[in-house]
Amino acid sequence: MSQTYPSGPIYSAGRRRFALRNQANVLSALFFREAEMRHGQSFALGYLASAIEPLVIIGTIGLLFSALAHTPPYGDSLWLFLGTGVFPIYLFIHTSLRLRQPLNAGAQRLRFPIERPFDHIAVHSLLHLLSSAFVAILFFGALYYIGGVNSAIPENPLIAIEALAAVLLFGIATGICNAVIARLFPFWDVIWPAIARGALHFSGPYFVAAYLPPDSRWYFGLNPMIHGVDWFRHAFYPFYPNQLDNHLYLLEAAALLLVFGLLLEAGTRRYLEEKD
Amino acid sequence: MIRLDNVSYTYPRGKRVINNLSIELPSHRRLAVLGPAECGKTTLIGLLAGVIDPVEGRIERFAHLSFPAGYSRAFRFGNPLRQNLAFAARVYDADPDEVIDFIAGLLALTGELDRPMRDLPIPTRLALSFALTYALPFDTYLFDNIIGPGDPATRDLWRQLYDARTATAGAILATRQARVAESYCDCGLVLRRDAAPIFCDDIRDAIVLFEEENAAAAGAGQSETPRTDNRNGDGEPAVIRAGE
Repeated sequence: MSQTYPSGPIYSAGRRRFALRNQANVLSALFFREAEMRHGQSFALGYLASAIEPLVIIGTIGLLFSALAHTPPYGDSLWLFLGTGVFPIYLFIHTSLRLRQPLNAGAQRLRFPIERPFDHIAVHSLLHLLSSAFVAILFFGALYYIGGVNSAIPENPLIAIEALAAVLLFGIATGICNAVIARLFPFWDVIWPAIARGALHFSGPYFVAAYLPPDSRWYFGLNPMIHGVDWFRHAFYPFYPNQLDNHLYLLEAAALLLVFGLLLEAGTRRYLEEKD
Repeated sequence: MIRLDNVSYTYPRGKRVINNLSIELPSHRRLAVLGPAECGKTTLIGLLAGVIDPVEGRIERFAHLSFPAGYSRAFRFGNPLRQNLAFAARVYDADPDEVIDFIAGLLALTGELDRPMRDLPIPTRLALSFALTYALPFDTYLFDNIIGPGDPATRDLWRQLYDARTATAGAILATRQARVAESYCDCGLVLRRDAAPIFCDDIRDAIVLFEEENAAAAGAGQSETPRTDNRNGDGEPAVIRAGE
């Protein structure tokens, strides 16, 4: 036969490089495939469709507040204030909901053995971050250019990125826990989205956490996301009141949940294999 | 080289098929895994490929091991064929265009490349999953009983592909048939029920040992019920029933 056989690089460079190279191959191939297709939809329809939800929330709260003729709780623009609250919250909610597929039992069987679940977690998280960031940039850009809100361009973009990274980490940690809990108790799939979306209002999308009455403020501070929102708002409002802020609390919560989630996953892996 | 260190595997809700196995397997030779039915041949191939994870112990792979030949579960049937093949090529570090050209040439595919996988007839999908195995460059190819789908007309093709690939790479072929092991492999690992496996440097020693084991098992009244699903009459390892 006169076929030429596809030849690959020869793996003589040692085991460590081999492993890194495999990892890079898997992550990049997965990234491009998942970006192209999501639930059989193209990227624009699949990922960006999830962007409609924060826009609807911003729109409804904004209309309600305008109708009630509220002044913005902080700053000049109601829409900017709502946007800086809702986008980080939805980055968290969507990431915490959508890491189910990477750890799903059925999906795990439908992969090449070289793709490990945590490759899928990394790729899906990155795609959520990118699609959320894309929509957020469009929203804030539109506010700046069309709405004429000058502060819609963050004064300190680095703080915005730090805040989003912390929120994403918290979302990933929660997502891993949720994925495992949902396999142990399938009804969690119905309960968690309800809790997450209901709790949205406690994370401060339309109020300034530091202006809450002092006796209830401490209880609001238990919610890690309220710190994430405040952190993100610092990028836009340099003098945002920060009496409640505790950035470390958000990071600690994320780290704790991450450790818990990974332990839970490792501890129940065998049990879940037998259960399914 | 592939090093298994104290590896055990128990089926979910089932019995233990591989018990504290510690062995080093060559990754650059053509190794037959011989053994009677239900002694863990398929499980061993699955463990080596990483399709299943050991319950205890660890496997160190000092080579780029394939998935079990003909593995088709990773295909996304709603996605176009071209995209599926390109994904497999990227994941396994090959050039997507080369792989697609190779498979298209081998199976004479043209218009099918841009259609969703699910539009292809099942025999084509089977041939495709084997062609993909041979198209990707691995250090060691893993086979569970079957080196190619069982259309007699194409049997020579799969044999040629096997020979071409194993001229420079290793192979591990699990089988229950001495003739297959003899013609496709040059060293053997004999798995035994309730005893440690034995590695033989020469395939003929392995076959002698395997047949002794079988005779002993038959003598002890454990003779196997003949199963014909893996053979097509003359001992070639070449049948997948449609729909599998």
